[in-house]
Amino acid sequence: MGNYLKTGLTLMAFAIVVAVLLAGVYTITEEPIAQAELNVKLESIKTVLTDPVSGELLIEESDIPGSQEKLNEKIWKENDGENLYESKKHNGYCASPAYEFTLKDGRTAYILNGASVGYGGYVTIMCSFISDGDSMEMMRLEVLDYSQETPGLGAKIAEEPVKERFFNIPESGLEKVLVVDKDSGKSPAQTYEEEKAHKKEGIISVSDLMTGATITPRGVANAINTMTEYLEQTTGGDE
Amino acid sequence: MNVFLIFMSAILVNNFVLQRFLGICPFLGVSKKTDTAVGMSLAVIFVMVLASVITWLLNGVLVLMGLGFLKTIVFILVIASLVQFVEIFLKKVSPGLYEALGIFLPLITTNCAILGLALLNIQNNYGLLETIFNALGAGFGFGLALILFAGIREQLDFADIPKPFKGLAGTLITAGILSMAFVGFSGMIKL
Amino acid sequence: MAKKQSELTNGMFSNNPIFVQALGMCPTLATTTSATNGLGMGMATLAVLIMSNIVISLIRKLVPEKIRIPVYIIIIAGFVTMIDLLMHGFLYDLWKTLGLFIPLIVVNCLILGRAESFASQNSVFKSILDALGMGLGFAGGLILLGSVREILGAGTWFGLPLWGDAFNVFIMILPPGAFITLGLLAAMFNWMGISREEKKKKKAKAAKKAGETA
Repeated sequence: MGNYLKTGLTLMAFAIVVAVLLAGVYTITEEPIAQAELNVKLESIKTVLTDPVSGELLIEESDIPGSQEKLNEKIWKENDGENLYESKKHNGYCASPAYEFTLKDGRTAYILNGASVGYGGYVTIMCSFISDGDSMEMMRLEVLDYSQETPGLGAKIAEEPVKERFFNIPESGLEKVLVVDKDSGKSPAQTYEEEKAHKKEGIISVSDLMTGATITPRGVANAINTMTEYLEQTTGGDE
Repeated sequence: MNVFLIFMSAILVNNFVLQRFLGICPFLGVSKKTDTAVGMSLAVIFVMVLASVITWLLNGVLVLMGLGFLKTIVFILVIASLVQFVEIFLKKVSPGLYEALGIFLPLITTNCAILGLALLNIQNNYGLLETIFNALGAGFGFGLALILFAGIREQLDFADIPKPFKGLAGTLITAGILSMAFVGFSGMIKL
Repeated sequence: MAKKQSELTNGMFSNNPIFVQALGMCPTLATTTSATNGLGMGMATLAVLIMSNIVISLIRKLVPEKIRIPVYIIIIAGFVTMIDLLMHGFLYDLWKTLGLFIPLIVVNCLILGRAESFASQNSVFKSILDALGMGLGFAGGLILLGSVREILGAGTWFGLPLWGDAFNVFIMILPPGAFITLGLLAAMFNWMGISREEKKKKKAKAAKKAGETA
């Protein structure tokens, strides 16, 4: 019995030493980790607030948050660690918090993080919804997490040309439920003009870029639909 | 995400061995005969489900204490202990299987599939039910790949393979072709 | 001096962890979608290997035999967690790409294997050499595999475009490509080993004949 106790205690001693050392490394890396995560978030926010056509950043330089505190000032809605909203219809959710920025030209931008189910799991995106009081459009999105999608297939969703197909969706498109062109029954858009016309009807043209990988863009479309549902409920009268 | 989707996804669409590359060592090592493959798969499913539940619960405790960063150490120790327990259990209950599995039984500890599964459950923020179904799916997927492969290798033993391809090389290429077959499952699950 | 050299090159060629010992298959197949990823993973594994070999060699007289495996696991897991935290804070993009496979370094049979079969029985200096040899051999294999898959699958190397979209066999980036590429490389290593053996045999035969006629 005594022998078992002795070996057990030796093992515990080793474990405690390692745990203490690790705690030390953890305290050292806690700050850089928080900073790195924050930087990623800030970069994404900056990107979705940049007009994809003109390339201009739509908020004042001084308005870009530089720290977690400054970012927290921009929180519009939050739900303390839980999701802001979940949609059974679109199999997606809106994550907390959602941010609100005032653009240089006075319009309001809502930044939402959300996800829906893609091929292997959730595809997480960040979207900017710009409202001028009367109508709202989804201007730009960033794909934040697509780790469960297949490299070379679904993972192409994070490439710029594919993302661009989702930019600038007008309110008329958002109001209809967004679908990818393969699900719409319509033939794919051949020109840029046709693409824009399709967007007005809520049809996203991606089938030429995402051949053999329809599930992932479908997930992104559903994520946007989830966010639109949430916005309709919360900003109701504004639109 | 509903649990059925998680379960089917883990077996076919995102097969742990052939798509996620978890559990390759035992996959290449134990798959020489179909009966050992079956025995190994059952042991793995058992360890996976039990380990997933225990690590999920422990992670809850760790996070509450602000010690989330210790989860890798805690998880691997839990898995190692579980495997010890399974070893002792098997030795008593089925010594034949115990002998057949040999060195591969303790090697379940270093099976990245178990630790990978435990970590994935946390990464995907699964609840307890989803964790269990993910573990079941992962285990069955592992078993499916293992048993299929064993069947193929039993046949391959009689084939005349060029010298450089004997052993590891030929096994890997066969696994590659099997993996290609599983890629065909993409798009199977529609919402 | 020759003995020390062989400890280093042992891990890199004749006893290469990937192609000869077939250890660490999981990360080899999963993280080699590009040369850069292979390099990153190789370096992280090398770091853990060196640190754990050093510590295990240092404490080898203090560890009771019965619990040596759990103790080694605790030490290795500790270093892996350290590397994970450091990469999360300072090498965010690489950390995000390698993802799950960083904590999985713990179950890389290579590290526990070297701890058990070498570091626990040899001096610190020798253990460092062994770790360097094995680690570099592992990293080299990863970079080789990653390069082949990246060049054939995406037309780039370490991110630099070679011929763009002109020639892409993108199954290389998918799981089957990993298995097949590794299989072919293993076959190549095998073949080199076999022809080396045959050459040795021929030389021995010729020497014997020369000895007989002399």
